[in-house]
Amino acid sequence: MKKYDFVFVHPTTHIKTANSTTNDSITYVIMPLGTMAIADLLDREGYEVKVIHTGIEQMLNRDFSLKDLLKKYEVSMVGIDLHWYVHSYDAIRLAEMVKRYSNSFVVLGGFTASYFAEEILSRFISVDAVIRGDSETPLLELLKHRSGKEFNEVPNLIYRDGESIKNSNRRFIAKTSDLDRLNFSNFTLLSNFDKYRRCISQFGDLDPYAVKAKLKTQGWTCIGRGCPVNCSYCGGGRKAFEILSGRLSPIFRSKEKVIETLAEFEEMKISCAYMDFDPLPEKRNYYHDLFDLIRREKIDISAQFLLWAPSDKRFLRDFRRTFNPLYSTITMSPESGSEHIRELNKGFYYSNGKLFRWLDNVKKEIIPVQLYFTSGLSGETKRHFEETIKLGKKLVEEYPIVSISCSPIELEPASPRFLYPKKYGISLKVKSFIDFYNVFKRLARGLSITTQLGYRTDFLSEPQIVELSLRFREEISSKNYEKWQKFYFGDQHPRNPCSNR
Amino acid sequence: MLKLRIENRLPLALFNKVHFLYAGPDLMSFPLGMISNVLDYAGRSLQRFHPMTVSKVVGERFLIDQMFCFSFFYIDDEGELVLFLTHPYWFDRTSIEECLKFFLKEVEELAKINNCRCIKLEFHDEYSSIVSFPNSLSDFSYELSDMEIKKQDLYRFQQNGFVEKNVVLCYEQSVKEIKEKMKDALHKCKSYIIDSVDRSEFINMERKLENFNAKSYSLSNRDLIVSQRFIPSFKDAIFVAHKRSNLVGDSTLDGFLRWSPNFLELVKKYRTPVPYLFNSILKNNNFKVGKIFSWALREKNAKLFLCLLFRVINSMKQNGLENCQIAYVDNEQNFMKNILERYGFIKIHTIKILEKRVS
Repeated sequence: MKKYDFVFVHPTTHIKTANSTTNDSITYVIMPLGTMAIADLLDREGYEVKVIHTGIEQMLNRDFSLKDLLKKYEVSMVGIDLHWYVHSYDAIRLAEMVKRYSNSFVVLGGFTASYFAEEILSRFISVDAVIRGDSETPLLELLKHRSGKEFNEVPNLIYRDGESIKNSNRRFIAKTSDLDRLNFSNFTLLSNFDKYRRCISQFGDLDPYAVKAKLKTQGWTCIGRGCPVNCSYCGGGRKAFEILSGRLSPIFRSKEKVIETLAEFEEMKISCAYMDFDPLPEKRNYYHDLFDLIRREKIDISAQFLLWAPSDKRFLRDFRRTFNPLYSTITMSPESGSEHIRELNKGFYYSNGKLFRWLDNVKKEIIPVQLYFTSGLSGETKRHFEETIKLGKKLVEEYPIVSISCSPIELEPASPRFLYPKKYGISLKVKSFIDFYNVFKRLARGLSITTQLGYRTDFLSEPQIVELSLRFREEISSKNYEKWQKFYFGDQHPRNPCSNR
Repeated sequence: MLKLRIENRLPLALFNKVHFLYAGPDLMSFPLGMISNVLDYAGRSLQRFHPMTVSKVVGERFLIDQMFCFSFFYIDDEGELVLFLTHPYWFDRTSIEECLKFFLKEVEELAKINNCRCIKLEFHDEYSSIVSFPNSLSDFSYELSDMEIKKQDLYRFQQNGFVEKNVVLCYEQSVKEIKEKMKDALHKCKSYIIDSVDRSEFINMERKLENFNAKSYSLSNRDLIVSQRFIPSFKDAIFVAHKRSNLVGDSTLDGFLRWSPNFLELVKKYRTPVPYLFNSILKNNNFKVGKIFSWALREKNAKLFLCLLFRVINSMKQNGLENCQIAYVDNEQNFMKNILERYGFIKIHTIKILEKRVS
């Protein structure tokens, strides 16, 4: 029997469809960035480590069960990432399975686990401990101190001690030097990595029957941690970081380390680097230096860069010069067409005028754009949402938009709206971990759920919020259809009947 | 032992080595790294596109790409499902024999699991000059001047069971020269009404070409995704001809020519495989070459062709184009070859279409 000191298990969300003859859909499959980095750190420290992605395993074998794996391996400790709340049920389900079929110690980590650590430990006996916040050093310490049960020595640890739940006195907040110790691209530790590389799309799908011809492969790039602002809906903003990990301001990984990751991506034929870290939009010197280094090192890669606020022309020029244009795009999330609502909800505010000026520059630089909008923002009424639709239509008509989407905003633990619902004009329908757990448990069992979004606003009910996003998608796709019809067939072509609605 | 792998992906390096233009369905999704088009065949839905890359596996996780081939399924005029392979691009030729055998084994497997019994291959056999867009029977056109064409590759396919089925040609002549040579032919156009139409008017005419005696080569007239080229609509791009003697209201089409500027010029200039996304560059470019890529004549009538050609040439001249190309001329279409040669057109591109039956 193969012995492991630590096995990371990545949960995926299962949604059972009404038609019981089809398989469950497996969704939210992207692993948190840190998982591979921590696995690599433990490996380098001499521990036997493995990473199992349950979604990938199930995709390869629909009968896959963690139980069978636990029969094959003797595992001292199992770590389950519970970063995103969508894994609330599946993470606990896996923890219970581990406890049922092994003697392994079970530790959880990630944002959701950090926020609800006490509740998780008090409700679920299958979980032995939770690491709150940054977990690289704490996990190493946990492995060192586990045999002596010196849990108080392990930073950021909250653990069960008999009947009581205790917090360690030690604290660890990762600095740049800590991030630089990590290797985010040692995928050899992930079982069936190759399948993961090939099957994960940028939308987080994992559908073995997908009717899409994939051209690119995508890798997620760690550039830093933290955020200086609080968007009302985001569970990864400044306040959330402060609560979850004690971090007060963002840190960047050193550029040389990012280069190492990108160079490894290139060798692994990962064609597009996903970059979602832009905490200093007024001063993007870090990126100018990084891009310069990428060019100097001649790394051939595309990038999907998520800007948190419009950039200047220099950034766009630099972006264009640096990345292979094949799959390079820039993503922006104005969220709302109403400047008033954007200002109320977004940490980095910009006017529509500024957005248009930025898009004019993007167009000149021949960069395709992806845009994200949402419904259900605080203070938003149906009238405000009309402005979102109006803006969306103008954008698809005039700019090189390759993707424009609108989804109802969901409730994220530790977001300002979750922490101060009254202030943000919302009523919560999920308040504790068990509420999140129950929603996803019902979805996994194919049962109806009482809430899809977890809240209603002062102005809009949950169905109304869902309906608005749906309307946006219909009207924008109709506008897009019209645009391309006109492009291919000329002005005389009959209009798409949907556009008259 | 050499470890090879085939994956559905289009490597970044391809665009660095050879510029190409994608002008097919779901174009907007190309920069997102996925394109989709579903083909319904024999009660099943299958993904049309298969961008295939063969790589050598080095160590546990590193790959060295060997070749790329953009392939797709279509339904031919007889209703048979065909797997079409565009001209393979070789990144590395050191293990070409093994890679090709591996690739063909995988391709045949793909065909078989989709109940496809026929594989066709497009091979750019010869070219000279700049071969304007579109220059493939697919939606994927390479800038051929960036490509190294090796005759030996054709023999390799033939050694692996592929048989030559068709030869498709493209001709070129300078706009100025044609105008000069056509001066005498002009008076003969009085018997035809030549109109410029837009694509929306033309689309229904284009589907009724069964009885036409001369027409451009197409993989299929039945599969709309293959037969309809995704080319932007612009003024004076399609000219249709009707006999002047026809009664009022009789709209029988006697012939047409459709042309496009060479959008590959934009690909190179602006480094994008999807120039259609950027409207402003389409409008403001001074194109050098234009190509008649779709044409048909009810009768093999040189006068009719010249009348249509004259209008196209005028349109090209007004748009500042220097050279005119006419493509998808079947090698057996002697009527068309003779007229073109008479007017000084020179053959600049030969596509060979090979076929292999899958048992």
